[in-house]
Amino acid sequence: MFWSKRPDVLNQPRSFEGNFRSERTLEELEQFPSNFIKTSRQEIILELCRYNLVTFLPKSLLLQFTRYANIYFLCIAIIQCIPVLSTLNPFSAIAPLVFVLGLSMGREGWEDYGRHVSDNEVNATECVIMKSRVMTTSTWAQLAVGDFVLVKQDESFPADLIVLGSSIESGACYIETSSLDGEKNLKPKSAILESQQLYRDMSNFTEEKVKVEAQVPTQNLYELDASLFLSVGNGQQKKFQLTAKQLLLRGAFLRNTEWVIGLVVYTGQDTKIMRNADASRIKTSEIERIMNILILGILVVQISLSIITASFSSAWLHKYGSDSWYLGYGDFQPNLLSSLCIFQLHFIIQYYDPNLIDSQSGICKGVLSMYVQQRDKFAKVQTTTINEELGQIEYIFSDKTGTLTCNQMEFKYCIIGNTLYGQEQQHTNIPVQNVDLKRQQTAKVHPATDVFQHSVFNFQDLELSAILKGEGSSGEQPVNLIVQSLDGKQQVKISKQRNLIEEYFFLLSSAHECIVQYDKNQNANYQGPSPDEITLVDAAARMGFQFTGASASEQKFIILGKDKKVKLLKSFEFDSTRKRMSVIIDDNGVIKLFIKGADNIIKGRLSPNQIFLNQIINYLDDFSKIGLRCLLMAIRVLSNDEYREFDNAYNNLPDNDTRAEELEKLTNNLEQNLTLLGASAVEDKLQPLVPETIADLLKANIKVWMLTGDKLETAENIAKSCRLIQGDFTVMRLSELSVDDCKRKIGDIQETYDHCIKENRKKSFVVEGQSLQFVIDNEELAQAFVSMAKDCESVVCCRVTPKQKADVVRLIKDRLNKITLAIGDGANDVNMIQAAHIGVGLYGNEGMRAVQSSDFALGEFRCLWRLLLVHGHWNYIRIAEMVLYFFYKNMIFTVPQFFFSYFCAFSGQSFFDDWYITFYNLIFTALPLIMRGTFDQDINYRQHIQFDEKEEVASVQRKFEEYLKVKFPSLYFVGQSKSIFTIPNYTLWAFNGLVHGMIIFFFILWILDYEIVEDNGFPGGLAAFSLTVYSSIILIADLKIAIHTKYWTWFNFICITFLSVLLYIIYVIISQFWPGTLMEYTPFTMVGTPHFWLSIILIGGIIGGMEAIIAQLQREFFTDPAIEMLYKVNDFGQNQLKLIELKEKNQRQFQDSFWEPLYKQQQLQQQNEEHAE
Amino acid sequence: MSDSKGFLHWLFFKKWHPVPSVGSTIALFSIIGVIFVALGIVITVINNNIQEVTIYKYDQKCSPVEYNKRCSFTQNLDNMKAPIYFYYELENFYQNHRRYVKSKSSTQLSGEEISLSDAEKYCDPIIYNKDLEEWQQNVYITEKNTLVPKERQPDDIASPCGLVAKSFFNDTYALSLSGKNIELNQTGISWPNDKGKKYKRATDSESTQWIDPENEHFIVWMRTAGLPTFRKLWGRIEQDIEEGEYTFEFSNNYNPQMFAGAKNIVLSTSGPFGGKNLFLSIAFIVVGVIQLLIALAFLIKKIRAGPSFGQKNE
Repeated sequence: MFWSKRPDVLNQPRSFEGNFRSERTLEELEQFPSNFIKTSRQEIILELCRYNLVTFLPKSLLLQFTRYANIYFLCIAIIQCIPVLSTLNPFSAIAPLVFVLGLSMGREGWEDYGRHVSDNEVNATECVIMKSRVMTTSTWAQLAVGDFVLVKQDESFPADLIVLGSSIESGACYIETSSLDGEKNLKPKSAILESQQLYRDMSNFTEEKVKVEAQVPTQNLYELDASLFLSVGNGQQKKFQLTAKQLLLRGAFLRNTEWVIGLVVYTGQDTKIMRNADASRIKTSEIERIMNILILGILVVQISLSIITASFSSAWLHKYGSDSWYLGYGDFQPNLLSSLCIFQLHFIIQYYDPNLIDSQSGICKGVLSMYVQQRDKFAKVQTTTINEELGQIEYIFSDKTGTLTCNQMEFKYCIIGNTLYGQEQQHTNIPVQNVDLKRQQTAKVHPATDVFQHSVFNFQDLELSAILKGEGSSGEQPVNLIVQSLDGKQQVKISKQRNLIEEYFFLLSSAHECIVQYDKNQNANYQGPSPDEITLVDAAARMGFQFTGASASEQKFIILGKDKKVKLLKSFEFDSTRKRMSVIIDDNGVIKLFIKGADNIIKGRLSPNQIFLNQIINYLDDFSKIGLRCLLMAIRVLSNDEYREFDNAYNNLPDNDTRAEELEKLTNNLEQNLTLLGASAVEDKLQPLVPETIADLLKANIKVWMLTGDKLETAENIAKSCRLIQGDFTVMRLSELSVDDCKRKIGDIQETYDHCIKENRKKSFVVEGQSLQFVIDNEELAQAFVSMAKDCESVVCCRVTPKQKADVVRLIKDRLNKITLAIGDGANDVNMIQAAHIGVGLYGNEGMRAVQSSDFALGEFRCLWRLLLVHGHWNYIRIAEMVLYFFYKNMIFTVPQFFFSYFCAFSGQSFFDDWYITFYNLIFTALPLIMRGTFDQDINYRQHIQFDEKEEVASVQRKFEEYLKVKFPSLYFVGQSKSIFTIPNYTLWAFNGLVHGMIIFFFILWILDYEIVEDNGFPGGLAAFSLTVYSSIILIADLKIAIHTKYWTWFNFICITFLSVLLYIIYVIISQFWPGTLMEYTPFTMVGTPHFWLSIILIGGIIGGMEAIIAQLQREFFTDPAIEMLYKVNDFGQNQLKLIELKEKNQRQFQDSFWEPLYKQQQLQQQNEEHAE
Repeated sequence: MSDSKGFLHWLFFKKWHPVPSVGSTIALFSIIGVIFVALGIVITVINNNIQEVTIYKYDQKCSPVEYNKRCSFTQNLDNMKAPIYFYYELENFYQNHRRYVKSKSSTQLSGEEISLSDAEKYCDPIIYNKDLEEWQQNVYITEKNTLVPKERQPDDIASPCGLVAKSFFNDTYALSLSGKNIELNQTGISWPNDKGKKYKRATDSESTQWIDPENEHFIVWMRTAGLPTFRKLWGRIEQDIEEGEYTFEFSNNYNPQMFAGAKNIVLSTSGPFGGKNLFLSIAFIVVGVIQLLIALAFLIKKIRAGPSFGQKNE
């Protein structure tokens, strides 16, 4: 949104010169957007800081009137200000408007302020700029196009830079762009050679001009269209074309490179990261939308009622107007104008924003318990307007990496030869750390690398370590594996298991693309393109096969304490099509090809007669079932001739476009006739309690979709390990490369699907990115897909781009009209988070973008359990019932007003005093409602603040808390089926309000009538009548909410008694002395009359009784599952307690009796037995 | 709860989760039912002791029916115990009409002078003396309700102004039994605090105001009624009256035919709960009985269904 306001000047190709002194005039500054970034939604705060109230107020006011209700209010207020039409004091119409607007402006301002603060944090981050060859500290916000910036290792880039020089001689540098695209691997970038030569050495810096011409900034991360002009002596400049290879992106981190010098090219809004940011949208909830419609409905009803009463009024005037001399119409001539003038508003339903009531605290209360240790972060509620939708979720879209998994790999098992190692390890538990409970809010702009490890090592195998130490006999088992080159000239003989193991680990430590890094304590730390690889290298190192570094032609190791060097001849990278990685090394004259890769790839390349194959395949089947990632390791020995031949071919590869293709062919031929050595199984570690949480979510009938950029196999593995796909699921896969294939496949899947439906089997849908794109683009396919996917227990989408993630969410959201939730931790999830009804961001390792754009920020995936199943459930009930009650209380307030109009010749006389009307919704009935909306719970799985001191009792209590916890997901349907805020329910409550309102009005009418209200003979009058009715209404409104409060805290008591009733009483006292009002000098006398109290008692008795009967009948004929559960638990608990009491009683009896010694003896015996066990 | 954290925790999390049972419902209904029936019976008894006599359309009892004239009629009354309240009752008079209710100036009534703009704002359409009734234009009505002729400028702001004041009910009554006058006490008939606080005489009342705002009949009139048929207290008979034929003498000033209504006289005694009110007694008894019946129904069902009734999940 903010760039829609972009001045045209900025949308032109730019040309600028490197600003060596970092000094510039104001004009130059205005040429490009500032690097000062603001994400705060409405700029209100900034506005407030920068300008003044004059500009701030209209802006935020305008925003407020995007709500129907507020427009409605404004209209009413305007009408009320026209004296002819108004029945009321204009103040009483304006006051609630001002109050509501003020509150929601305040709230939105506050939310925005939070964003503003975090923006400020970013903007104030320090960076180093080179100012005339001197390093000067500056802040991100102060950077401007043309500055020279020095970025050190592990710092993030403050703006989009063109790399000019790097600490690495070749000009290369590595960046990690996880905050932009979610990918964790390092991306190589490099300075062009000429600039590297210039800027490599700081003393070489010259003041000579550097000029850059660049195109308008785009959103594409991998695109840069710019040219660099460097001076080549004698005032001449040479032009160099720049590509994305030279572009360092704001928000990315510099890795494995000591420092780089960059020239700022795009700042602030122009940076790729900001251009990729979707403007945050204001989310409104379903209930709010319905309420808006209802408000419109009410408006229509009001207007028609007003017209009806106006016409009645004019009819009355026709008939009696000229007779009723006391009305002073004089010679009354009824005409259209007069009836228009009598068009008065009778209905004064004062809606006010339920969101205001919809308390943040309801969720915040749970926040404490959702504190998650690992991330040191509390859950945070960033959007308060959609709380109730948490209880209505039907689809969850989850990112994989960082959300379901920790993005940490664990080396679980290895199979070497025929033997499986690693069975002894314990199930890994995350060590409970002592965490500082203080809230830490600072965003980490530079996450330190040593905080997060890609790999976890818990591998233990005594036998293996014994063998490696040279102990034990199992290492001596004969293997007799002979690996020969094809021409037979070279061979390697592996005779014993020990040799095989050594060869295996040597392979692991050699065949990879990792870089070794040393931290301050000289601990080796591996960095590499994929976490799997790092894990394997790390595992090998920990087993004693430490990789210590590599250069272009050599690899260094410390193998079991001894240094070793091998010549690295060739290395072929891993990529998604090859699915394998290989190196060729010269190991003391023996040329070996080490290869590791996916099982299906390697299997097809083995030479025949593999002695370990069957055993390994057996193990692998088991592993893949539990979701482990498996790789096969194989070896090939090349004779010198063979290698020479290959080397020749390699060197003669054409240096053109076909090179890659040719190389592919060449390596393909080489990587054949392999000999299998073993396999490894790596676990992608799940976040704690993920499978349990998912199981409960599925139980709550929430469909969970996993969206990941991973490969199909990996994705499926993870889905299995987090129980998204369970053993009895039918898995349907869609992974086709063309639209037609896709259509055909969908047809096949449809059959399988129908079959599953018939047999009532659970099913899961796995779809790959490319096919997904067809589905999204093709209407026909989309319908077929959605119709199937919507009922699948789980759906896995793999290889999806951030945009596709959002598209998938929209697919479901728009077509099915169901409430969706997206959860993710990375910048690549931002689109999805904003597309879904509810976006949840996790405090991840990938920066704060997800959190910043989310509605709820959590520490871990498992917090969803509490957020949805507990707080979501409660919030839906709270808000839905609150809205219903809200309409009810306005109904009972309006109905007497309406019927009164019959008794006042439809003249539009307001029944109540002006300020009484204003305060009704604003004060007297507000707080009990807010408290109920904040605290009410149908059932809590935590029944006890503290467990009982007695262990026996406590164990019972614990048991039924467990029971409730298990049962809790089954309550979630309440919100999903939208079973509370329905039109019938709404009608019922409105009808209820109508009946109650009528009872109040007519009963009091008949009681007071023209009767004498006091023993000293005073008749009542309008004021007395109105006061009695009003008091009854307050009583009934409070009574009703008390009856419907299921969960009482002190706050409910206080609000109903003190803040509603007591405030009302105080106001009544005030109104006694309020000059000029209808009520003046009425209340004190009225309160002394028996009729007042008798009326209230009668009304209370009737309506209270009716409510009690209805409640009782409801309990008889409709069962509320929550109440039922509560009953069960209470019964169970009571029975257990009785049992315990009985036991104790028996014990006491025993103690005093003859049998005591016997009993004690028996007890002792029992204890001994237990000990023995 | 000794430590503060404990207290906060207790404050926030101490909760009651009441699950109402059949037993409590039955108890509730029986208690309320009994109270209601008892109250109803008490009210009925009191009601029976209250006497009320209404003389309908008394203006029609004069022959010929003429207005602005004194007139009298006779009426048989039973024995009544003091205090007996004397009301006039108007039918079909919309004192609660919006145009009517707001047409007065409370500032002016509390004895202060108001500007012309205020008078126009609050008292429309009765602003000037000339807008008043003819009989009100050149007169001063004292606190004791006697008329004193007084010259007034027709273009001065009327005080009190407005429709309510203008339509002031000005019938007066006298009651006698066989020539013996029965005193009607006309003081203390307005609501407490109204006189002297809400309604105050201006400093030079006689020269500026056409009626003394502390005239209690005026104050009673100004407290607008809630319904189109209403009673207003006119006086109090502070002695017991015997059975006999009483003569009602009244000045027949107010013409109810002009608003298609009627004017009646009501004589009533009062009990501790105010005037006679049949509805109240019936309502209490009926509601009480219904509640008792419901309690009984639940009880029977509970007994017949055994202990599991209301607790489905045993």
